[in-house]
Amino acid sequence: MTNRVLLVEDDDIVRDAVTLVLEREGYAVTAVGDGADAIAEGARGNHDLMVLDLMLPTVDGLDVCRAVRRTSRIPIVMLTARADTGDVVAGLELGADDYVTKPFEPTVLAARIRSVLRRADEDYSGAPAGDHDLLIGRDLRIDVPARRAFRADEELLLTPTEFRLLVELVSNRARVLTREVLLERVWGYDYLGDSRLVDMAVKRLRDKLGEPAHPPAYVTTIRGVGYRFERG
Amino acid sequence: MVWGTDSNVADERSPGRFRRRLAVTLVLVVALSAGVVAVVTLLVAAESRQRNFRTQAIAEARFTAAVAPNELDAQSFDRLRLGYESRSDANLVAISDAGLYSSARNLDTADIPPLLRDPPLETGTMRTIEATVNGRPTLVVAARSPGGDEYYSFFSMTQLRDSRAELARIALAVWLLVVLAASAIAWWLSRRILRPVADVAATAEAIASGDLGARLPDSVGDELGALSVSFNHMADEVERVVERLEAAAERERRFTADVAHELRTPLTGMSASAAILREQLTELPDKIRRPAGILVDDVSRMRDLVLELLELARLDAGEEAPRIEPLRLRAAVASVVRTDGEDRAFTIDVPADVVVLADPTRLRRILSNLVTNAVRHGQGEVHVTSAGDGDDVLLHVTDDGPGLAPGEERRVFDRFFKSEQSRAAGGSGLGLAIAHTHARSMGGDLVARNHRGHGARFTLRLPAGSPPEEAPAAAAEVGPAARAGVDRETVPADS
Repeated sequence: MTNRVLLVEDDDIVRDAVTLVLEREGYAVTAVGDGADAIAEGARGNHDLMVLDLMLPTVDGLDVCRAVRRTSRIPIVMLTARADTGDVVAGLELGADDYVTKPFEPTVLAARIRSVLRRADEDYSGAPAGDHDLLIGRDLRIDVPARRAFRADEELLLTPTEFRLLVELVSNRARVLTREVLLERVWGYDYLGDSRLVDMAVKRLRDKLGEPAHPPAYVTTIRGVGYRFERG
Repeated sequence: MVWGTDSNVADERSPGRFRRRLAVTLVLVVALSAGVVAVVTLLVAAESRQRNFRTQAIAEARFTAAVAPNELDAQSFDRLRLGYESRSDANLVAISDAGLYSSARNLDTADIPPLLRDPPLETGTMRTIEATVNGRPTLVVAARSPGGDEYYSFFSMTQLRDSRAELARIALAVWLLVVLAASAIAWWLSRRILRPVADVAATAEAIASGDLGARLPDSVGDELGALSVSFNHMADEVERVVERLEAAAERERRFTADVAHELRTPLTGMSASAAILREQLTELPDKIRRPAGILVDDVSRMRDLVLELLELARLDAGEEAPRIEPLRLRAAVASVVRTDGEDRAFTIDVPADVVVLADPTRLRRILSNLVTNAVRHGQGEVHVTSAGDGDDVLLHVTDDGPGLAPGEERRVFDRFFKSEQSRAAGGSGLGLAIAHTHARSMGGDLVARNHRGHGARFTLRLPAGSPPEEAPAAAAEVGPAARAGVDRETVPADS
C-alpha cells in the first residue's frame, strides 16, 4: 500500500526537492504552500502522515498543528529552521510526533517518516505483553490488536506514538523506563535522540489519561532517570 | 598604607587596618602633647610652691630671730615659743651659752644638721638646708639673734610633698581622660577622613563585579573631590569601551547566527536535490558527471559547515542548559559508529553496563565528531575503550594515523584549526571545538595526545552514572536494544 504524505512547505525549491525525494522513497505526495491550505487538506483525512514546516506565512506551522490535532490523529513530522528550539517543544506539546532540523539530509527525513509510519501501521499481532490481546493497567483497558485504549468505558483518542508509549509503559508497569530506552522502543531511534520527544509525549499522554480515581498518578517521573507506570 | 599588588592583596586590604593605624597615630600625638603639657605644668607648679614655702619659712625665721629675747632662759623661750606657735606650726630650737631650749621634746642638738653649725653663723645672717629630721623631710632654717643666740626653725615638708604627689595624681588622671577622649574622637575622625577612600574602594569593587554604572558621589572641591571626578571619568571610559566591545561581539555573533540561519532554507533544497543527483551520477554523461559529483560533495560539506556554525552560535549564546541523564555508553558508541563510521574498522571494547551522565544530543555530537575525526585522519583500525577514574568514566578513541604534531594537543580544539597534514582530509575544523565545548558543558572534558605505538588518542571524560534498571523490550522488533548483547563487538561498516 502506498502511503500518502501531505507536505506543507512554503519555499518552492525546498518543496519541489523534498517532494522529489519522498516520491523516490515511494510515497504519494500532496504538496501545499501555506497553512490555510494545509488545514483544509488535513481536514479531508485522506493522508497517512503530515510533514509540516513550522515557519509558514499567514498561518503559522504551530497553528496548523493545533488545528489539525483538533480533528485528527494523523502523525506529524515537523521541519524546523529556527536556531532557538522553543518552537520544537511547542510543536511536540501540540501533538507533533517527531521533528527534523533544516538543512536535513533527505535520508534522515525519510528515516523519521518511516519510523513514524511504522508506529501507525504497527502490527501488534506479536503481542507486546506476551499472549494477551488485552492489556489492563488499573482502570485502563488496552485492546492491542485493535489499537484502541479505554479508560473506564471511555475511549482515549491517542496518536500512534502516544498509543505505543502507553503500551510500553503499561507492559513494564512498576519498572522505570529511561528516556533513551523509550526513544529506542517507541520512536525507533538508533540511540541518542532528543529526549524532549519523550518528555512531551508523556505530558500529552498524561493530559489524555487525566487524573486517576485513586492515587498514585498513572505515570510518575523519576527525576534524572525516566518514567514509571504505577500499579494502582 | 601601601595597597598591595602582590599575592596577599586581600590581607593588605583588610578593612579597618589603615583606619586603626590612623586613629592610633592621632591618639599617640594627643597623648604625647598632653603628657608634655602635664609634666611641665606639674614641675612649674611644684617649683613655685616650693619657692613660696621657702620664702615664708625664711621670713618666719628672720622674724623669730628679730624678736628673740636678749637674755635667753626657759621663761623667755616659752614666751617666744607661744608667740611663735601662734603663727607657725614649725618647731623651734634655741641654743645659747646657757643651754638648749626646744619646742618639741624629740628635738635636740643631734637633730640639727651639722652643716648649719659649722662654720658658725654670723650675727644677723641666716642659713637653710633640707634634711630628714626624725624620718621626715624638713626645711631647717638657722639664724643668729642680735643677742648672739642660735635659733633653728624646723619646717616640716611632708605636707608640701603630699600636695605635690596629689598634684601629680590629678595630672595623670586628667591626662588619661584626655587620651580617652582623643581615642574616641580619633576613631570617629579617622572614619570621616577615610570615608571617601572606602567609597572609592566600594565603587571600584562594584564596577569590577559587573555594575559598570557605579559612580562616586560628587563631593566638595577638595583633593578628594578631584579624585572622585577623575575616578568617575575613568569609569565612564571603561563603561564606554566595554559597551562598545560587547556590542561588537554581539553583532558578530548575531551576524554569524543570521548568516547560518538564512543559509538553512536554500541548503535544504540543495541537499534534497543533491541527494537525488548523487543516486543518478553514474547515469550522467561523462562530461558533466565530474562537476556534478563535486557539486554533490560540496553541498554536503556546506551543510555540515552551516550546521556546525549554528551549533557554535547556540553554544556561544549559552541559553540551553544540558539535559543530563544516565546513558549507556557502549550502545551510544555503537550507534554513532554505525551512522558515522563509514567503512573504517572499529573495535569497541566498552562493557555494556558502563553508564555516563550526559545530555544525549550533546553526547551524540561529541562521539560523532570523534568518530568522524578518526575516520578522516586515522589509518587502520580505530579502538574505542573505556576506563573508570574515580567518579568519572574515561572513553579513549585511538586511531592508527600519523598522530598529532608537537604542540597540537591543545590547538586541535581551536575553532577552524587544521594541521598541515590534515588539510587535505577535509572537514571544517569546527568539529573538535564543538565536541570540546559540549564535554565541558556537561562537567566533563576532552583531551588529545598521542598514544604510544598508535596515532592520536582522544579521551572523553564524563561523570559516571548508576545503571538504570533494565526493562525487557515490550516488542522485540522495535529498537536495537536486543541487538547489543555481547561485550566486545567489531562493528562492520554498514552505512
